[in-house]
Amino acid sequence: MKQDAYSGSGIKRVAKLVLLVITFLVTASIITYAAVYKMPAALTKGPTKIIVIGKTTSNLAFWLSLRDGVDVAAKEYGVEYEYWGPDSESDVDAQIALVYQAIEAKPDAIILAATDYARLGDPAQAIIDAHIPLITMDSNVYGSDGQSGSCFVATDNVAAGVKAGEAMTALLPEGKKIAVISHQLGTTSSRDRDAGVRQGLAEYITVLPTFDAAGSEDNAFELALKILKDPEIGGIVCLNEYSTIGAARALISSGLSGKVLLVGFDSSPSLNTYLEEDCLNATVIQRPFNMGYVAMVKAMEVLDGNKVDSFYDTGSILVTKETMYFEENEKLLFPFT
Amino acid sequence: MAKAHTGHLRNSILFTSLFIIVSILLVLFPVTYSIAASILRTNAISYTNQMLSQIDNSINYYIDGMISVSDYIVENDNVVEYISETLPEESTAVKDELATVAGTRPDFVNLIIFREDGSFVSNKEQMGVNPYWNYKESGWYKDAAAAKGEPVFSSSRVENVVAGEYDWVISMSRALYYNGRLCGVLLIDLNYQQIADICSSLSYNESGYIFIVGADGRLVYHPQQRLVYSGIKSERFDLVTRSEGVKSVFSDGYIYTSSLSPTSGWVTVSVFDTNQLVSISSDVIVLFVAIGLFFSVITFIISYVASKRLTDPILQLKASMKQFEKGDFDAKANITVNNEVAELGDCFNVMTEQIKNLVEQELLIEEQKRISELQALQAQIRPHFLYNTLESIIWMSEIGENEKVIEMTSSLSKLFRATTSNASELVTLKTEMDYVTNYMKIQKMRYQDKLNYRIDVDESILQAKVIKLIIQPMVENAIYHGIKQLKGQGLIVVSAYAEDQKLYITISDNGVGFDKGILEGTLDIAPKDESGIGINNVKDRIKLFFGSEYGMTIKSTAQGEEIPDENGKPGMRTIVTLILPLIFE
Repeated sequence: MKQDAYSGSGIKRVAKLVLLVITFLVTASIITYAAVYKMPAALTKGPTKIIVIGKTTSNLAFWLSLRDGVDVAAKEYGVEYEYWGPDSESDVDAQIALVYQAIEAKPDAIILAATDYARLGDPAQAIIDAHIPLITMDSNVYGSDGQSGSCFVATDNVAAGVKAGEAMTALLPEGKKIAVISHQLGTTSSRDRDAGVRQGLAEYITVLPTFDAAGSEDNAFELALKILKDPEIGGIVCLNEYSTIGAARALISSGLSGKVLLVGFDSSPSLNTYLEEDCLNATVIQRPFNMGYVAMVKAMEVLDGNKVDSFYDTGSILVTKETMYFEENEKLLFPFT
Repeated sequence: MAKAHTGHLRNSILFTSLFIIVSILLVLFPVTYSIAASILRTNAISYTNQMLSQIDNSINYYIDGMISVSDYIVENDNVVEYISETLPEESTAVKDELATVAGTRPDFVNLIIFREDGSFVSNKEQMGVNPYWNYKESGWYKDAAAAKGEPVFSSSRVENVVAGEYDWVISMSRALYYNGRLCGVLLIDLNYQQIADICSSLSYNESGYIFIVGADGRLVYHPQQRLVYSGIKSERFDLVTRSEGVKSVFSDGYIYTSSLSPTSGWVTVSVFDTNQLVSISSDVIVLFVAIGLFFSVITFIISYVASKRLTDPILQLKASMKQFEKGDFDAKANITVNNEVAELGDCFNVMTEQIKNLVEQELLIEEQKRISELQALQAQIRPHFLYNTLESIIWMSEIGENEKVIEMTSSLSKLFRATTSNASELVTLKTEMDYVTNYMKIQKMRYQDKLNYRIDVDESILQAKVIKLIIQPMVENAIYHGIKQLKGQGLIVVSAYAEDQKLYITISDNGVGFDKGILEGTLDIAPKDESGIGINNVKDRIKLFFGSEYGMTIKSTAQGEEIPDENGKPGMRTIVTLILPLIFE
């Protein structure tokens, strides 16, 4: 009986030893795994890949500046990114195709500036359904199920519109009418700015129904020429860069520069010149650099599992000839390089 | 049974070594970490300061270049003539001069001399002045005029003096005097990208960056200039010190080191973020925990094996002791290791050996005692038998049967001689039979016709050795318990034969037989009387002498029945068989 008990504890001891060896091997392999794979990943954060789909790849100052912001943030966070976009802002189909292509590429996150509020609904839903974090910027879009992206980074366009409306009100002679030229009627940026402008204008001012430049500077130019034929028109508000340029060209060509007021949006070298020569009375500038930068930052925050606010306002500033060389405005009006 | 204490010693060894390794790691880690952190910090600070001086040097190269160019221009004869308005508004000589200088320095964007009358000469072929701005209102112009001929440096700015161009530049402006009168201003624009490139390549690492503040307090360069302007990032301008030499200010884990350049009035500021070390440390802690775990496991295994080497022999020894405790005197501790425990095991073995010897000796003494007692017993001739025989002798003498007296007395005498002889324990079967014969003769004379006997032994086995005095007690038993109570003639047959190297001696009688009760009790007849003692005594002696396979069997029937003899005829009622080994000499 004694002998049994002794050999019994012997078996237990062997079992314990086996257990120990297994524990050791498991621990050692976990540590090795962690040392070889996890640690460097933790130290370098790994190559996160983000696809940014803008409204256009053209040389519009706004988008160049936005891409600068994306680039600065990517370098700061050590993120890989690709910037995609249609050639023209009006090519909604091309952007829809790009969104589906981006989903195929399986990036860690997608940042999207929707060219069309309604038509990008399905593609946005596809991104959400693929469980790819979606950050929207500049112009918002909701998935067709009504779901939004993780965060919308944009200028508070209503507030920006209000600034333009108020500037116009301050300068407009009494009894004159106002026209508003939109760059693209379908987009939220246009709708919100338009609403803001009307909100910022004094109640006594008559505003014509909003005109649609449909994504082209030349359309805006033609529209402005037509509008200017009405002698009661005292001012035009344009809702983005190229529509403002088109209207400014129309003012100059019809000899009404400095006589009919022009309040625009955004900035570019030519807009800066219009501002200097008093053709453009004021422009509401956004912070596209910030927009690109913050969109990337928010994407990183979402990827890190942090909770982010659903809207981030990058703000806007009203710039006139007098304030254009102020230190803080200078950097916004005249991009580096 | 005692509680099992197995493993307590090992556990304490395991936990002691684990405790030691964990304590060492716990002490070692903070010490190592703080040393490493301070080395890291020192290295980072010295690296940042190195960057600082490198950037200072690079920037001073451009600043000094601008100053020496301006010195050259200011003293140039053509320029002096131009500003004294002895040369026309459009002076090709001055223009060529400026173009030549600009040609040697591709980083110069504009080289322009403005005259007080509003005319100007530029290094560029055709240059228009931006009509929407009055340059005399610009900061660079006013500052130059106020500096009375000393060079003045702007921070980064957009040059808006040239029509249709908006270059980011760093401007140096210098008032030009002729005969003590302000005649114009020299403007040199350095491509801002040049400065930005130097700074961006050097100014940023994980733990710090460098930025430059101009004399007017505006930023010349900041790696995140646009983020600072747009308010996403804030910069602690309050920590920048504008004084000669290098000064460091520490706040909230940041070290701001400012270096003022006396020529440009720019302050180069290096920012070192000591908080970055904390974020590195979380990885270090993970690594430390992993290493700690690894070494704990290693320690655990090593001490497990080491303690096993120590405790196993102890457990072995303990098991042997338990075995010994149970009464196994052959218990031996076989300890294979070579240490103090093995010595202990040897001591234990010596001890058990001694105890075993002592116990065996004791047993031997007991045995010898018993044997001597038995010998004493066997030596006895029962007093009753002696009285009876003597009575018979007396009675026979009285009736005058002298021959019988002689025979009886001689038989008695032979009996006594045999009993008292000191010969060895073993005698020949013949001697034993003679003894029985003498005894029978005496008893025959007493019982006359009631007792008949026959001795039936083969000649060939008469010399076989037997224990002495084993047959007579059986015969005596047969007479007293079998024949005596029998009505009619009794017969006792003593015979011996050999079979299978065994010697069988049978004592049969036709007496009354044993009680059934005694028979069922097998061979252990209750020693309540002398006969019982006698039978058991004989049996024990045989077994003691020759081993347990030898001994005695008794066959007996109840009263009235008879056991058939070898011829199949009924006759005997009790047959006692003694079984001994067949030994000759």
